[in-house]
Amino acid sequence: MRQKSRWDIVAATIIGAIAIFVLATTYVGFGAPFADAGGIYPETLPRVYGYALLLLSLVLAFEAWSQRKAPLSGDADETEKDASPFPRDFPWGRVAGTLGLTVIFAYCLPLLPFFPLAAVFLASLFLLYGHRAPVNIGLVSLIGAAAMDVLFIRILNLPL
Amino acid sequence: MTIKTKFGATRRNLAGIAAAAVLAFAASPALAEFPEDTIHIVVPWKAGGGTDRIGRAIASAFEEAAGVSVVVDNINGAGGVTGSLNVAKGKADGYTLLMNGSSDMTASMTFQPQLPISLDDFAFVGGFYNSPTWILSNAERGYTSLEDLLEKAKAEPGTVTVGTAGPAGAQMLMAAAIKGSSGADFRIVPFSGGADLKKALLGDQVDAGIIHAPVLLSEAQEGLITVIGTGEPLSNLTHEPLQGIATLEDIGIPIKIGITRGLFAPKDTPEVVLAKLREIAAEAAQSDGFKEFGESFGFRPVWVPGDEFEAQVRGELETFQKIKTDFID
Amino acid sequence: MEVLNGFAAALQPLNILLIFGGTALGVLVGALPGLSSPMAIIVLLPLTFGMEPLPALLAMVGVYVGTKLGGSFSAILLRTPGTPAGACTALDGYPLAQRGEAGRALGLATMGSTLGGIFGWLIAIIFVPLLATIAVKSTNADIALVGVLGLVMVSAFVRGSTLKGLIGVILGLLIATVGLDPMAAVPRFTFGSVGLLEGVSFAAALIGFFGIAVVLADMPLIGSKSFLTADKVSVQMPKFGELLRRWKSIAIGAVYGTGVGAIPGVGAEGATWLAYATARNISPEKEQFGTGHPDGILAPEATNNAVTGGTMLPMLTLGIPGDGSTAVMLGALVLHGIQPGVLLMRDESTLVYGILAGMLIATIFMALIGWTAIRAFIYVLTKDRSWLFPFVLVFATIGAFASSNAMFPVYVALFFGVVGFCLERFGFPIVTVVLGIILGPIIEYNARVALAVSGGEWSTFIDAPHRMGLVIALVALMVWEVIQHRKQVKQAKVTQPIN
Repeated sequence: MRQKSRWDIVAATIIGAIAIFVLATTYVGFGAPFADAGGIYPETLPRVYGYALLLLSLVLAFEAWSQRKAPLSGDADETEKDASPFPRDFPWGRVAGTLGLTVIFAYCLPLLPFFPLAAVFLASLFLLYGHRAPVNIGLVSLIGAAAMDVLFIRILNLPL
Repeated sequence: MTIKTKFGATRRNLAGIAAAAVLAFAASPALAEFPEDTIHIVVPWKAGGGTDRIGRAIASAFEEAAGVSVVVDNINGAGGVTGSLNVAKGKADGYTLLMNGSSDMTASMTFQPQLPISLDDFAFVGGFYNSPTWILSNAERGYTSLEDLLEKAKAEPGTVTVGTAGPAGAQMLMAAAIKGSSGADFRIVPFSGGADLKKALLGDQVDAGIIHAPVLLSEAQEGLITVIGTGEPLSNLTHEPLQGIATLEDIGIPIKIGITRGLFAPKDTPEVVLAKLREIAAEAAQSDGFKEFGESFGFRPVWVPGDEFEAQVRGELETFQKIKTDFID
Repeated sequence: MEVLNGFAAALQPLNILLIFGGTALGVLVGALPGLSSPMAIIVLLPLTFGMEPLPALLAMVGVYVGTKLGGSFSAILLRTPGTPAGACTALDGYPLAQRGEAGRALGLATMGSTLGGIFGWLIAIIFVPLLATIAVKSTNADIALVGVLGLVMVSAFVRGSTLKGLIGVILGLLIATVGLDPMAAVPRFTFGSVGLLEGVSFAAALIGFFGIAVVLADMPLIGSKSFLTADKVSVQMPKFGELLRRWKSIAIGAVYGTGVGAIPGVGAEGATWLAYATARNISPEKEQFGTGHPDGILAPEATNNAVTGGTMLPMLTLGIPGDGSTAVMLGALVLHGIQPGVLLMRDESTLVYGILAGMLIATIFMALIGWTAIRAFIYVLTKDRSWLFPFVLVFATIGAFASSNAMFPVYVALFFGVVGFCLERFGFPIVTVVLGIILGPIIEYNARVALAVSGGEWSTFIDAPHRMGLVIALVALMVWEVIQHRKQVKQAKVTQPIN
């Protein structure tokens, strides 16, 4: 089942832009190899990929565009048109929150000791996902963080 | 305001005692015996490889000599640079050390001068394992010496292939130096690493390969592989018959190439700590356990004390840079 | 016979215990996303210093075998594979579980892994000399061709738009070029970053695509009842008859796994995908692949356990590792005073065959452990995602960190998590991107070395009979795929007005 909508044009544009960027970079050049190159240089394959990507993104844009102008037939198109990658009913708040918290966690990982950081991270995610019982959240966060601390630091000796 | 606690001490006295205790603790690292806590040795390569094995062996000997536990951390990336940077920028308290090969470091500094790392970022504890870089050929090819190979290359330019165990390492520099100073026209084929070159040599796909000794030693012992040349004398090799292989210098190419594995600490490590580290390392490198490892790995360990090691590595960097400007650029 | 000696050595009580322990540890570690087999084996390394070489290696082999199954459990139940090898199983394993047949999926995975492991082992043992020769004689040109072949099979993974699948592949190939050029060592697309010099860490990309992206994409599932019904999920081992019927998938897995594993440099990670693609292509129900077809579970599962047998071969016969775990095991051998290399089989045959025997025993233990542990896994892994996801995120972060003990891969993983999420939203199959990332470096590096050795002669790719055969297969496959695509398009055109 083909799922072409105007969003594909957006996707095609982004990908086309990436392709052009890649090609531009390859023309700026990477430097000359000093051993036998055998006919292929560092730029060769990225350039091939860049052109292929550009071509494909154009085809994608073209197909999406022509489908858009095709005669509509019934309510199947309603759903297709509404097949936005960003539907309203998607829990975007949670997604953003999850990403943000994870980035903060990663950033603090080398700075703070693992156990408290992990416990706080877990607890905050639990809250984000809708849990409210402080005892549950606290218990699982603390025990979970402790167990992982043992696993990662004592057993696996990771230099955290 | 004084408050009597149940021990009769006043609050002010308690504060004084606390202050004294804090001062005592603050002062103690310098006075206390180093080392007291776990030492981390960073091996900037993947686990299981040659450098990693040597690193683990010395770590184990180090542990015995130091009396504290020693842990190996593999922080690989960028040809050893990621791990090296990690140590260089880390705490200079002697508890995190770098174990790396001299020519791995100097080669990457030579080929990538833009990297934010230099020999000045480190204090040199000492070198403990030296192995030359040698040139091997599959016995089926029939070369018995490097001169043979060079002759063939001169006779049929562009047909002889010499593989290197890495595109930008000591091996590549050696290949370039040989090619440049002998004038022979052979093709240098950079393989991704020792494992792939090893496979190519065993499969007789290249005329010769340049790789750190003692890789493929057992095959050489059996006669499947011929050692046709070496960058430095093989006198320390545990396998006697090969000890006399001609070096590059012997055949008129005035270049020495080998790799010495050593321990490094961040440059601001206190002198006291550094001295202790050197003491421990010397003991570890000369311990029976490590000697045993060396014997089975292929070379007897050596101990190159800190200052000598530093001079050696700096000299190596200069050599490499010269090779690059002379023969590669 | 040496094989019997090997078994005798491996069947000592202490060794059996070690194999069992190792396998159990492996299944556990495998199931935890982010933790991998090399990591667990490295941990064992210092613990084994006091042991003889054989017991030490047996424990490690146990872990190695066990992780292949554990990784599939989380792939089936959470859509997040515990190890890279398990990623392909999620394609059909997860949908099957979603349909309420999680027990069946897990059972198929267990039996697939076990049978694949056993058959792969048999192939390895019987063909040791042949495989050793192939491993040595295989040239970079051969590996490059196999890589391209794998790439062409990519369309097998595309459900929906082939165009988007192709774009995905090229994106993956491009991502793989980031880093130091493999032959000239000049940085490509690194923009001055030291972290990117090593390239995009495969582990980080995988964790991002299959760990973080899945968490983000499955966010709506939080709060809704787990797809498993209120009834307890019962473990359903596939009946013998069914396994017999589906022998082809298992056989494909066993052959591919052993073969790919035995040739160092092809990349054991790619084997499961190749097997899946082949199983799908020869199946009369190929459209059902991706919705929960049992062969889609059996093939990759059989492969990833057969690979362990395959990679042991070059490790033991040549001293060349096929993947991270075997690299560590080689290191362990050296640290125990054994010199791996061409002569190991001859000089230490009891050790070698003992290790191989241990591998078979570990596979059987794996089946037992899997069978009994399935219940425990189901219990844990089907808890509400709102409890599980935070842990998955911690494991993913730590896993990315541990891939090279640095923070940079963590950010890479996060980046790919977002990218993967967006790609999925826009309808691009992430699987193809992953394939590009896996196969890109293999194809490029090997093709370039092949050309460098031959001096720029492209004929090197067809100057041997088997290479010609590969090229012909390649062309035939491409033609066939185009025909298939045409058929699909025609069918779509026919059914479209009815939409």
